[in-house]
Amino acid sequence: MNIPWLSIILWLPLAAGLIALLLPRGTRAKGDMAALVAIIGAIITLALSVLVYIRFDNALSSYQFEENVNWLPSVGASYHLGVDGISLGLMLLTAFLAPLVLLYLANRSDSSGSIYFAILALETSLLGVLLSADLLLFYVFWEAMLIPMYFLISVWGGERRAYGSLKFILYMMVGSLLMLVGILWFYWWYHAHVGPFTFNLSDWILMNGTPGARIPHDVQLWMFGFFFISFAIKVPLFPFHSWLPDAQAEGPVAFNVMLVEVGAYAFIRFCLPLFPAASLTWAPAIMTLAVINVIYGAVMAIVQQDMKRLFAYAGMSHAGFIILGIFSLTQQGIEGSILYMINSGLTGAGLFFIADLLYRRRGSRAIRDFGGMAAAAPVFFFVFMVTALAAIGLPGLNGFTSEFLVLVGAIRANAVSPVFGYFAASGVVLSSIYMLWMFQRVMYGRRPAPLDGVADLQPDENTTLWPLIATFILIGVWSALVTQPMQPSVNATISAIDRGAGPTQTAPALDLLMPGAGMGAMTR
Amino acid sequence: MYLPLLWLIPLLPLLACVINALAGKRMGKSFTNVWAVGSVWASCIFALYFVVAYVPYAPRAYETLAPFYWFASGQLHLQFGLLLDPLSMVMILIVTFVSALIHTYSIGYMADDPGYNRYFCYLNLFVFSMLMLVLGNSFLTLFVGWEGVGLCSYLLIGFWYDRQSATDAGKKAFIVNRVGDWAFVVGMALTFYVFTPRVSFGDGLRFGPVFQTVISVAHSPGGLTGSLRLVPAIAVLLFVGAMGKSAQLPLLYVWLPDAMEGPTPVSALIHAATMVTAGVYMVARCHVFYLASPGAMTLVAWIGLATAFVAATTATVQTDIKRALAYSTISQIGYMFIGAGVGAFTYSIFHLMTHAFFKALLFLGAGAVIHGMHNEQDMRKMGGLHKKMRPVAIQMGIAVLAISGFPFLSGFVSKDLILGAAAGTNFWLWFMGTVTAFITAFYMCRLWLMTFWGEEHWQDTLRHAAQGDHGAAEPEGEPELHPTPAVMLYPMWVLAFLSLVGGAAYWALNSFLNPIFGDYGSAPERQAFAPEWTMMLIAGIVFFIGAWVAWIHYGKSNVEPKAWMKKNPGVYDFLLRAWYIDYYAHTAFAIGGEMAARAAYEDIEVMGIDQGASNGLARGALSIGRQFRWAQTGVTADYALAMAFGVVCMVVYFLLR
Repeated sequence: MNIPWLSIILWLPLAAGLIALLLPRGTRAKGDMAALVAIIGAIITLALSVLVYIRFDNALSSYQFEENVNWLPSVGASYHLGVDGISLGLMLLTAFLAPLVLLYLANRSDSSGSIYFAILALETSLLGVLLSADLLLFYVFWEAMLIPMYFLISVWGGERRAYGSLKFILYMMVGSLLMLVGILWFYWWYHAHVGPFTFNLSDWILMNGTPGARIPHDVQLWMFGFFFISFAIKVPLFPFHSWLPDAQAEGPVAFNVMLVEVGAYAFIRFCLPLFPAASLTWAPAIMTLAVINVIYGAVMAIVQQDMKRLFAYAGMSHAGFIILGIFSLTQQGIEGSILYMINSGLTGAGLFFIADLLYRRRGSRAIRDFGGMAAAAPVFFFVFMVTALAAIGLPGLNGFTSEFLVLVGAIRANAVSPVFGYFAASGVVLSSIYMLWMFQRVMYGRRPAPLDGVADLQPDENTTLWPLIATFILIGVWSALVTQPMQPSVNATISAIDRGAGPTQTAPALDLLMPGAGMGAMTR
Repeated sequence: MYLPLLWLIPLLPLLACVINALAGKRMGKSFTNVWAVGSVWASCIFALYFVVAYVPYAPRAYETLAPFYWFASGQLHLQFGLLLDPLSMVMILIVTFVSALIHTYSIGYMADDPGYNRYFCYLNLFVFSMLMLVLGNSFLTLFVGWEGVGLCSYLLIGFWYDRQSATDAGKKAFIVNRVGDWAFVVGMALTFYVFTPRVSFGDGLRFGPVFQTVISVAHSPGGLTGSLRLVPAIAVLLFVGAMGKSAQLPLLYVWLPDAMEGPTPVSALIHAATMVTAGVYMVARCHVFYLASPGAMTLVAWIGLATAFVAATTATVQTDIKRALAYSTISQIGYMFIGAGVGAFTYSIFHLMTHAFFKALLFLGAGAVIHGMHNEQDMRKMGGLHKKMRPVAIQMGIAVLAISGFPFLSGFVSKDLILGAAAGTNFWLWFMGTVTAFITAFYMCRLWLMTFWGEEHWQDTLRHAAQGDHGAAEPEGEPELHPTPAVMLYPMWVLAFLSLVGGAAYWALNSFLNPIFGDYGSAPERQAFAPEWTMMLIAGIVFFIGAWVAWIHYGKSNVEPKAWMKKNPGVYDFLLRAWYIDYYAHTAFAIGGEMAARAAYEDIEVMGIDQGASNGLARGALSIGRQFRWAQTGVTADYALAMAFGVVCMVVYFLLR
């Protein structure tokens, strides 16, 4: 029998969430039951995802565990799921973060079935975005994702949650509509030049591989633009980032943690293979934005007074590295980017959990309200230290592996100048400034009176944070676990660019540092 | 020689760190001691075993790899790996032995500290990182140790974290180090870029294949061609990393004097004997890059010289015993870079070794004095301590003589070798190096005289301190120095012995290390302007003049010569504050940087993007909406009227068409 593993993984969280939501109201045990159902659902999802990881064939570049059923035959849309090297790691990340959030929230008196439902519905839509191999299906999940996110901020958010959630939803809608235009344009183009109506991603990619059917360069530039704005807002890329600090600061910890980097994923999944020539043309401009992101985000983080805003800007700086790696169009760069999405998701989760832990103890997110926590809470001190170090890329922890791969990719990039890599590497310095300064003000020095008798980590907090620490170390010393399955898929993407851009359209090697020292096209 | 056992050398201290972190506090001090100190001694014994077992095979290189891939992405396929070759053997001997001694000493020094267990966790983690640094078989494995020692330095400088100055200093150390690491990371990425197409799969960052490539190409007729022309750039980038770690001019030295906020044994181990010399080790490890790029070599030598000179002049007026030693460390590392810069890598490593002995001893002695003086570090408040602390005075005296270049003690031999090699390259390198040696003799003798000789101020100091502690009440009896326990004294005797006779290691070290530094091909013999014995004679005379000048000024009194200070306040201040480098760097980067960041946040982010673009768009949409509000009145009659008007228009249009 052919078990639809991906469908189970995809819909199980939503089902568990619905049950948690609908459990009979009114009994004291209800909250616990709802939590139990939600956590069990999320853990089974994680277990199945791990199973998929174990049974995943590292040698294949195509979709695996594929499911393809007609959905809307009249328009050519299908329920097409598949996992490949690019989405595998992010799928695991999503499935890993959801149970952590649920475990973290389960003991809180203000948690109820509805927030579990929101979290699990968000998990399903995130997984849907990652697993869809059909553009319309992808778009549906992309939009569906916004609903639980909006409610997470506007219902469970902080004081200015109305502002934060509205800003978030407006930014996202603008992007989504532009992308819809892009999708439909491509859809009609495909129909006009190839024939059938289809939203199937593989078919669309194939068109660019066929010399006759290739979309002209100037059309590609525009189509790319529509997708680009949407993804750039989601990433977020400077100057489309203004929603991020507000949404992150006002959003509850569940929102902060579950904000998986699907924008950058979509760049690799769609922009690169669908618009190879445009990707090459736009690459220098986007890499410039990426470097601005790295530096600008870090500089903004330095002067933040609010811990969650600081972490949000740190995330923006990380996003710059991710985009830099993608548009270096090298194997190390793209694989480093995917790894970076995972690492940034893990360390970001750790940091936002920590911000929430501090908020629990002091009722404040302002850095100046803290101090001297190190002596009072040694276990917390250790966890915070390791998380901060992972985020700033200390070798031996996960952040470094992805940062170094991205930098290697950016410096080796032949299509664009290595100069981007040199400037982005300044993130090494800037990240240590914002992180250590914040750490010093929160953990060291004198303790303000309200923090006297502050508690160290509680058992439920330990169960949330230690698994994260374990992944920091595991990926930090053995990143091959994550990058090895990626290789064939990333290679396929790069060759799709090579093919699609065509021999005449490959940008000349702009090796500013050593003109004439190019080493042939696209070394990898 | 079973190679995988090599892993035990770094992993034993790591294991001890983990065990103590988990259980040390609960199990008590002796448990902590057994694991923390025992593991480092065990590492030391393993290191000794490996050196003995390896000697017959020298100078061949052996590697042992971890059984899993750290990186796996295309050609960047890499495992953690350890390298066994003469250079790493010398380094692990120095590191494990000095570490073991300082761990032992710390049992006494830290005995009353509430953070005892935490201290040893950090110290063990440091030993692990340092050993990874010197044993790593690739740039990336080295970098694990490189950043690890930086982290431990950060943690240990800020060890007493309730003191603002301590945590500030720790943060500064980490950030300044990271400035160097920025260059280092770019250097590694470039190395990978340049060498990956030239070596077999996955070897683009492994030392052996990379250096072999340069060696095989450099002597071919074309020399460095193609992307190999980037090798000098890589050498400079890596050296910038070394400037951060090893505290070199022009800017990146600024963290080391502040690092003295940490416990004194930490200053001895990390900020004198081992970590700060990591840059020297790295340059020696990558000597092939430097030999292939003469420009980078020249840079290394002159940066080293400038650092040696500037730091030495600064040390002449310091009154805090640890700060004086810190500047002395910076100055001595400058000598090591002079050695590396003129191609005398063996001498550079030799000076690294002797310096580890005598500078560790100096700091441990200073620690004993500070311990005795109830945490007083100002030398003007000491004086005449030799009567009460005779063993420490003798040990420190030996170390002072060694570093100042008393003929045939360890420091004399290694420094003289470096200066001799420098003389063969450039007269001024030798000359200024010798002037610096004179200054060194002066300030080191000054330090010893101010602390142990001259008028006794320590009773007053202790009385004052006691009064401060117990209010205005007269303390009973005479103030007492804390005695130095045996567990602190014995390690110091060992180091004192090595400071005396360490110079004799020259012959062993020379024949052991020369083969690997000679792999690039023998450099042409360059004739110095004078024979070796003349230069030795000059070096000896220079020592005696320096010591004599110190004796004149500080033999009787341990206060600064007031007349001179009054006459030249500007010069005094200039020297005291290290040529104002730190002051200007702090103003420009820390204060200026923060101001710029705040301005960027307020002007660009808040006013420009958030209020301007984002909310401006929203306001725009809102006002456009308001403009058309009159159209949406909600009154049915209005809509009916509009509809009727539309119908009329359409009818008219179709009629007139």
